[in-house]
Amino acid sequence: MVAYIIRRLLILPLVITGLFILIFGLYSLLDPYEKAGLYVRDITELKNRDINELIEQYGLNDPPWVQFFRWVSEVLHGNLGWSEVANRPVIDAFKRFLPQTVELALWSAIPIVLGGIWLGQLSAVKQNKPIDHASRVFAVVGWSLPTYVAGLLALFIFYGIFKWLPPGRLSTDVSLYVSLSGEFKMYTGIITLDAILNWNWWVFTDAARHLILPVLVLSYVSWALIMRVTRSSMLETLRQEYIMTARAKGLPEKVVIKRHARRNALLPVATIAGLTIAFLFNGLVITETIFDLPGLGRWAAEAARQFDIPSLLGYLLFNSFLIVIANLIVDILYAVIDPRVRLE
Amino acid sequence: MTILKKLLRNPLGLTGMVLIIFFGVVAILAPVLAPPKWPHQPYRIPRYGWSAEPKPPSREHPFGLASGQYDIFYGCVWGTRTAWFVSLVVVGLAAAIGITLGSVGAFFGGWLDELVMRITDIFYAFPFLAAAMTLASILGYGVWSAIIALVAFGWMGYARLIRSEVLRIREMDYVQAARALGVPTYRIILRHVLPNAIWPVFVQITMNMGSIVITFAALSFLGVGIPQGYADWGQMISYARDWIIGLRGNPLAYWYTFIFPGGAITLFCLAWNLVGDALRDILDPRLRGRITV
Amino acid sequence: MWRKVGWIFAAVALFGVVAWAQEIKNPDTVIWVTHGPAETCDPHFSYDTASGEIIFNVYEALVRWPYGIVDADERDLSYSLDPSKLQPMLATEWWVSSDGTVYVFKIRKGVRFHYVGVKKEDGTIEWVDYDSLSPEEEKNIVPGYGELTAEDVEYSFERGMLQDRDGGPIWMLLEPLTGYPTLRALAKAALGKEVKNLHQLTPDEQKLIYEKYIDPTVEAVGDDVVVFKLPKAYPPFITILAHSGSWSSILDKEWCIDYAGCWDGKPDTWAKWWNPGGGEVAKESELFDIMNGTGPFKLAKWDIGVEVVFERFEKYWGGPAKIKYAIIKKTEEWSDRLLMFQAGDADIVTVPRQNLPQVEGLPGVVVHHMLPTLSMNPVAFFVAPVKVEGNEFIGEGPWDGLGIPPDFFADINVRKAFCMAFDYDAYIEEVLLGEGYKTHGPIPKAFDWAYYQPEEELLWEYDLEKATELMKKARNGEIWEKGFNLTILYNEGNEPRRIAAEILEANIESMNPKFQVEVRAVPWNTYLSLLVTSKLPLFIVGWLADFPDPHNFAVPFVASYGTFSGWQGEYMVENIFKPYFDELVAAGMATTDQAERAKIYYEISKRAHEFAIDIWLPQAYGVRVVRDWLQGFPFNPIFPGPYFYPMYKAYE
Repeated sequence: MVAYIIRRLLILPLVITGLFILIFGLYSLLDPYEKAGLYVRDITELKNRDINELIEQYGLNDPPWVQFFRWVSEVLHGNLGWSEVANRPVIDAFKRFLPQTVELALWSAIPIVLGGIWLGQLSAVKQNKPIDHASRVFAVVGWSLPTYVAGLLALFIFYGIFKWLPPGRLSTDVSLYVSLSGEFKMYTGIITLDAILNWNWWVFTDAARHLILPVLVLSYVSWALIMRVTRSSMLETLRQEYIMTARAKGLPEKVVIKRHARRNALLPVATIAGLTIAFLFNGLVITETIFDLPGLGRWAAEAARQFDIPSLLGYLLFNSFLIVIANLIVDILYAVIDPRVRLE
Repeated sequence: MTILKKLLRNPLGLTGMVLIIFFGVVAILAPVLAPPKWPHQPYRIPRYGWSAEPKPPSREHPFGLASGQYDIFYGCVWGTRTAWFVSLVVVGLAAAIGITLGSVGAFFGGWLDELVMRITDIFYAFPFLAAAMTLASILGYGVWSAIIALVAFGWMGYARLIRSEVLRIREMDYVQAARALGVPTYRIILRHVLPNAIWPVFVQITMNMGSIVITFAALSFLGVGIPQGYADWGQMISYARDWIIGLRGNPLAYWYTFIFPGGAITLFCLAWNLVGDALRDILDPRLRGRITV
Repeated sequence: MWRKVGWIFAAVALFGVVAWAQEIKNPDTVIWVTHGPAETCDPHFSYDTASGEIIFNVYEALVRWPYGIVDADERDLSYSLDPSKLQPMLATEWWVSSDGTVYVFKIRKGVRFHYVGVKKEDGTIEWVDYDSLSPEEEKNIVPGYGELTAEDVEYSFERGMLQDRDGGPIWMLLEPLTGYPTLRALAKAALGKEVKNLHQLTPDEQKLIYEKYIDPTVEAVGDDVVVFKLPKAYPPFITILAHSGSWSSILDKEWCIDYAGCWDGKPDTWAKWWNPGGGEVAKESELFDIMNGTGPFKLAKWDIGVEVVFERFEKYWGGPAKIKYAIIKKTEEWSDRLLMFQAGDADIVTVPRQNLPQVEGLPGVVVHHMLPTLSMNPVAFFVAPVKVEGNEFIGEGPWDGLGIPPDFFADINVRKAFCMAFDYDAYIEEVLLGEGYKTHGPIPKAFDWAYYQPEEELLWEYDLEKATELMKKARNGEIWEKGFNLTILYNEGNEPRRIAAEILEANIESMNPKFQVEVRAVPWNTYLSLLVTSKLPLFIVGWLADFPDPHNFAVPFVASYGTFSGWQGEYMVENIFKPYFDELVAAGMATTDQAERAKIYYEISKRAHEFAIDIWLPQAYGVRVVRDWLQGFPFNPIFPGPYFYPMYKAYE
């Protein structure tokens, strides 16, 4: 068991080194002038400056591996570089954008997991009945909708017409109170959580109101993922002998499902935790852009568009850590629960 | 054959098949439905002015004109071809790469397997959308750069799937027997292992056909991908981006700009997913508990 | 059932509309939703509009431009860009010597900065919010600490010149005051050797440069007089000093040294503060995110790329502003901005021109039309010859009708034909929605004193027949015979540039089936790299004014050393810009007589037209979209963004 975990942990740096090489390989496809162009925001900046000076200043003409090792040694010295799109050091940008992303991801995870499992169970139990078809179509339509169309339409209906659920993070007056009054203490940067810690209901409801739409949209486009796995694993479980036995004993169907089937059927669902997180992060890129939430996804989208290498590497580093570690935890838990894995 | 029959008996599967056939017909008949203005550049959407404000459907332009006065009907019809082309090419290439790497790794095992799986891990750890965007924007505008980006970060699922299938089948008696008889490895893979492992891959392919089109559209939304004026659904929706919120007096003023291309994407993706779901149900005994996304 | 639902909907909608028409949201806060993050709060580092918007409301300069107020029903556009109409700000009076080389300013008395230095019991100095001090506590302020003096003015300009970050705005101070565009060039002249990295200068060298070249240019005389000495006349100098550009902001010397850790004011130490962050990493400058100005607002919060919050400076020398807060909110997505604005959560919104129909005629919304602008954006430039090596845009080998010959645009017939193939009226009508004007040279119309409305024949007309004739003549008919394939690129996301390119594409292709034009988008950095290496046969870019003087437009467009003209290829530089323009551009700076200068700039426009050096595309007028409850929005085309001081919210 311990050896297994150690082996998995040893792989981590390998994966991350691979990531670095890959992304730097992409960067090396640009010629030095294109790289230098990344540093020029506005044409006026070239008035008294030769672009060749920029190339020299940043060593953009050096062989790719020299540039690569220069960057790696900087990172090892704790300097992740300057994020051009966020206009601050990558570390600062990361700290600034992380809470928003965590907040949205955590709040979305609840409906995604619970809703997905509920839908999957519902359609498995009622296999091939209209309700099975309906819930599957419902989930698959969400899966098939382009996120930004769903997002913009939702904003339009709930904010544009009914004026209930605005974009952004906080209303103006609340935001002024939170940032300027000095009464509101920021512990985590996650507004809903801080509001609870400050015991401030007003701030909490306002923050929650701003989260409803993005959470709904993110959930709707992600449900199909968990629903599918739950459904097929539930179907499999329901065919197992012990369920048959339970049924034969005359236990009511509800009890059979709740007490016996569900627990076993949920095991495979846990295995896609990494996948769900990866999928969630893809969704965040667009959801944060649409709903004007200053999170990592929005930052990454902008960084990828402008090819801001330090930001991208910082984001990739974080993202791959997250996915690898999530998978690791799941695997370990799985090994603990299911002895067969350990034997393999 | 029985599979197809079962598929058609399933109402969802049937709906999916009908939709797929519909899109197939539209793609084939595109030159008849919407005769191109420039025969050598059929994917270039004709435009009728320069103004940014969309114009509602009319007799000449049944779906209206998008921002930039692009004909939405033309874009949707020829966009069907783009959707087919892109999804077939991306899925085909990704599956080919994934199957090759996965089956080779699994069959030979040892360090080769380890290497393949670690490479898979690395690619898996990439945030797909951000990575595809980055690659596409470096390669420049064009259908092919987006395709390459999607393939580069889309093959891993196949590799993992085929690997587990191969591992399972490799241990089966008849394969063991063939090995004992000295049949060459590549023949074992091609003749015995792959044909048996292909169904789960097939299900995965159907599921992927739709999501590729969605991701393609997301790339358009984020500002990379296809050149301006190219007939593509994602492109058509990104023209609608700034017009989804209509006018205050008439909130749905520009409904046609996103309903038609958005509907096309959603239905196309829905169709493949329904067929994939139904297929999986039919093949279930062999696919128990396997995760396909 | 459905009818009932319909009624409920209608009732809700009605209620919404009624409630919305009466109530003024956030009555003491003005919110502007726009896009584009700011780079820095350091006035000497800042060279982007978004940073300028912040600095503009917090720091002040010696003089300011007059501004008109554009309100709901009434438009008083009494702004002026005429330097003789400048108003006092931190200077109460000023004089310019008749030869234009000496400027004397009398500094306003009794002005305090937002933060002042107070002596604590243990003798140390603490910087505190001036607003928070009671009249009693104000007595503890250390003299000069947070108090405007002539010394502060001298320090501010010297700090700017010595910081001179690469690619920054300081050339505007160095060029008129020292005669050199950069500190590097100055150091080279002073020391007689090239030093790339000024950090390596010895204290003696620093002292020499400071004492001989920097210090004499701006001197405090007594408590309240500052004198600028220029090596030779520089007519636009006073416009550079005016409040609009960040570079002339006045800082508090004591706060900068004592609190922020800026240059310590000594002659032999400044190199340490030169070119912070290599000119790129804005955070390396000390004033990156802290501000202490004399303006009507204090910086309360700068959440980069998210929002900027200003808080009223209660003890502002001109009297406190009517609103308590002003907020600049950054939202990239237009739909979000529109929705916030519709809901009244924003008072001013930045609208992409093509989306104007969505706000036009909304209840409670006012659109200010046809405002003069100080930019030439976009303009299409011809390049001749383009660079051949590694250039994918001109085709292979000897020109065979595929691609273009490298000196395609050296032929004036081709350039003229392209100018005539652009449908100017369609562009104004459909792209600018009727709010644009035709141009005939690099000087925008807003310079009313330097701009002549040209005769009709001086404007390019859309005439495909004439264009066809010219193309037949070009290169003795070779082009018409063989055809060509031209790629026009634009930087992605820039809609006006895209449409301009597409209009050219359609019209040129319609002349001859052998003429092929391809329009393609590339990312900004790629675009830029192709520009500076002269690989693009035709490029479309734009220029915004640094300071309101036609000189600022003449140089980049027509001088042989100009930013854009320098990229237009050797043929254009040697045969057109050098012989026909350089002298004129110099002449424009040799005199301070406005009438004289006006004639020179007209001649520049005329020649720019005759040689068809660029396609002078129609320019857009400015548009502003505000809620009807917003009053007192000042206007002057040189402003980088809204000036919040005179604004308030009320129905009148």
